[in-house]
Amino acid sequence: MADITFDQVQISYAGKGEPFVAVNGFEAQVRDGEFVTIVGASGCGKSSVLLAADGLLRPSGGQIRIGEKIVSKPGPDRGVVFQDASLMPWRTILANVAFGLEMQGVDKATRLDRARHFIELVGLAGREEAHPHQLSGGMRQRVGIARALATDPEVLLMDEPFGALDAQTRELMATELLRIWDLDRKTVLFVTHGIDEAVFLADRVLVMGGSPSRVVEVMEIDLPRPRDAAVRASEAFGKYRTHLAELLFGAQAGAAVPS
Amino acid sequence: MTQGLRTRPPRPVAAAPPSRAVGLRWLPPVRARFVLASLVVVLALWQLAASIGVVDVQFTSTPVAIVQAGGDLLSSGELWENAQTTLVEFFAGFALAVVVGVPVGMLMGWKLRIRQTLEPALIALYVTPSLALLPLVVLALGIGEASKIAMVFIEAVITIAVNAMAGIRETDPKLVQAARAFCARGGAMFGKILFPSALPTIMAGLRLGAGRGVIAVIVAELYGGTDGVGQLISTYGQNFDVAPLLFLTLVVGIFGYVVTALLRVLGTAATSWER
Amino acid sequence: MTTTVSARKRRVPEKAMPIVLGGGFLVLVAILWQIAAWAGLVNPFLTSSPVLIAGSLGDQIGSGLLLRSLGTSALELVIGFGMAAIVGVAVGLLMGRYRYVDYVVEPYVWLLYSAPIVALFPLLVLMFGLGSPTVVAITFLMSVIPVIVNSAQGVRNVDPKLIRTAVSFGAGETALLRKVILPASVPTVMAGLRLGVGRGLVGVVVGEFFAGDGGIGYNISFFAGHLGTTEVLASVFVVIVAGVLLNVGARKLESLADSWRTELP
Repeated sequence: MADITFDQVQISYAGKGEPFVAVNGFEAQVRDGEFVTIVGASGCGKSSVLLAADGLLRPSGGQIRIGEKIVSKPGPDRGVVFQDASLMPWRTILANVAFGLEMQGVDKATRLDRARHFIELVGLAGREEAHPHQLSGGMRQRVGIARALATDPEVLLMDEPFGALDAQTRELMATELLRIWDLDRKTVLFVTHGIDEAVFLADRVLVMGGSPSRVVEVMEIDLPRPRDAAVRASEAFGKYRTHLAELLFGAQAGAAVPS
Repeated sequence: MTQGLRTRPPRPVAAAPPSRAVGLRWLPPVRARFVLASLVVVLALWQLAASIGVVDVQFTSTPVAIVQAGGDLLSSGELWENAQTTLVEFFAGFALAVVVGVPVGMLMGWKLRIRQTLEPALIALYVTPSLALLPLVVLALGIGEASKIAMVFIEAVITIAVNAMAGIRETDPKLVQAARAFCARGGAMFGKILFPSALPTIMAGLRLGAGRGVIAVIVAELYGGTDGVGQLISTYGQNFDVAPLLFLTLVVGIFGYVVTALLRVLGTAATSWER
Repeated sequence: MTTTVSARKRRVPEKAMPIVLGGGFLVLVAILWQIAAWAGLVNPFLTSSPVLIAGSLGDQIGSGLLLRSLGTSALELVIGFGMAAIVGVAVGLLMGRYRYVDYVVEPYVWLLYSAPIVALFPLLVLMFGLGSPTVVAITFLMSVIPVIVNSAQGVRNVDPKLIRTAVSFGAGETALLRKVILPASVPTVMAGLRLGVGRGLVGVVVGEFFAGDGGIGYNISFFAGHLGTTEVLASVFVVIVAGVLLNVGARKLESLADSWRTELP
């Protein structure tokens, strides 16, 4: 019911003269409760696809459906986590997490209660009254996740949420995300340029390529869940990432990826 | 080790937006059309309101009357005669302000002790209406051209010096450090690092100073004098002759705008490496 | 005598240097000025002297003139700038948010920005009569421009990512304005208000020169007409102090507003 369908989606940028077609013929389906990652080179339009799924960007062709509903604008059935968290610097953590509920007209006591719950869930209990500038990049991203979860969306859209973090924090956050996701297994579409991250998180990886770009391959990731950091050391994991690197950079690069 | 693709952050998805929140950038033709339409509508309404008596013509005049008054002022040579005086006063005062303000400001930005000594006095003048000195300057220098030049100088020099100082101080300390590593000091440091990096701010100071100078010369002429555009405005003002008054004010406004725009072009040319 | 620089204790701590040098410079100027006046090196009619000015200030305080004039000028500033703040922020927000409003209003803002508003005083006197109302009008016209320009800039500079986020979470136009755009542009708006109050003070003083019937600017012009250099300088001194205090106060408010930055309920 909360599956996402991309039906011949085309995305183009208005520019001087002819519009530039970045994405064309993008076909994909994310099943209910599935964790799907999209990887692709920088500028291939993977973030645009995600923002289009939220309704922040209108495709120039095709359609995107959440369940049976055609996406035309942002709605409470979707929650987004942005790359740089995009927290409001003047709001406390609590008020930031409650923002979505506030926009939905939820009364104050209820929304603060829910916000507190999700702050605790992402491991930031005790920091409710802090302001974003007092938190590290990883913590801010946790707040971003809590804010997206607080409205209880059916679908979670994540736009390179860990892209700005250092490698170590990034791995930690990926593990944390899976822990949280495992609680109620929402449908997740997660955009990343990290190969490890894409494999580690996903049930399926959509690989984008070409110009204009589209889905060039779908990789099923058959690794047992729940996963933890140990999965990264497994042989299967190594195979997946080598294959993915080959797809993205060609055969030599795939062989050269260190393990 | 996690190794992602080496990529820059994704480019902004500002294109093809659904809401004006992430809207298209301005299209100049649209802008020009709206500006023109706005001017035409306002002028037409003004003329109409005056001709059907909604507003008192004695207070507001009419666009047509203003144009006629402008024609008279131009054809009689009255405007040009007075404008010459005003232009000489303005450019003399402004040139003097540049010659004094830029070096003093830069020196204050460069040398800590000089800055500490002069900054409180300069800032106090910067945040006060230095036009308040006008009656005093007239007492000291008379109602002739000297007092007007002095007022333009005072108004412009403070702004110019404050900006020149700020420009030098805002120089990236990393640049200074790098230059020092290459043994640049004294004159070389100043000429090759501090001055070029301060140039945009200095030019901004000249622009602001020129704007203030234009107002200063007019106010000084309004206050007292025998000729000049301000004096002309004052004469028509005393007779409550609104049409030429508005025309002249408009001319001064346009002149101020043009001087500022020219300095902006000059500044852009001088700091072309910025882009 | 032979102690090294590093071993020698500094007599003046570095932190106090700006006060010592900057204050010292002002005191030195005052002393030299006074000496020059006493020694007859300068024409006392034109230059007066710090002692005379202080005496005049004392007289003006004693007679109640200073307080009365300050009251008149302050009231003009409060009304003129107050209206400019309200109108300027509203117009600026609309201009920054809606580009068609921006295009339509833009030419008049630039006109007011570069035209000598004081030159319009005969017209304003016709409309409002001589005295405070005209001074208030001049003050308003002068201070409204930086408020408009800065408020509009503040709105344009709001991080588009924040707006995108709010839209994604379901914010409509009103919520966007109240909960994102306004709080995000507070620092720029406050800077505009600070510039506006500065120009407002110019408007009060110069407006009183030409159209006032009381106040500090009127006093300056009046005393100058009676060749009272000392009294003029005393009033100018008051204006400088007022300007500095206003600026310091505005900056305090600016940093306060930044730390308290909040949204409309």
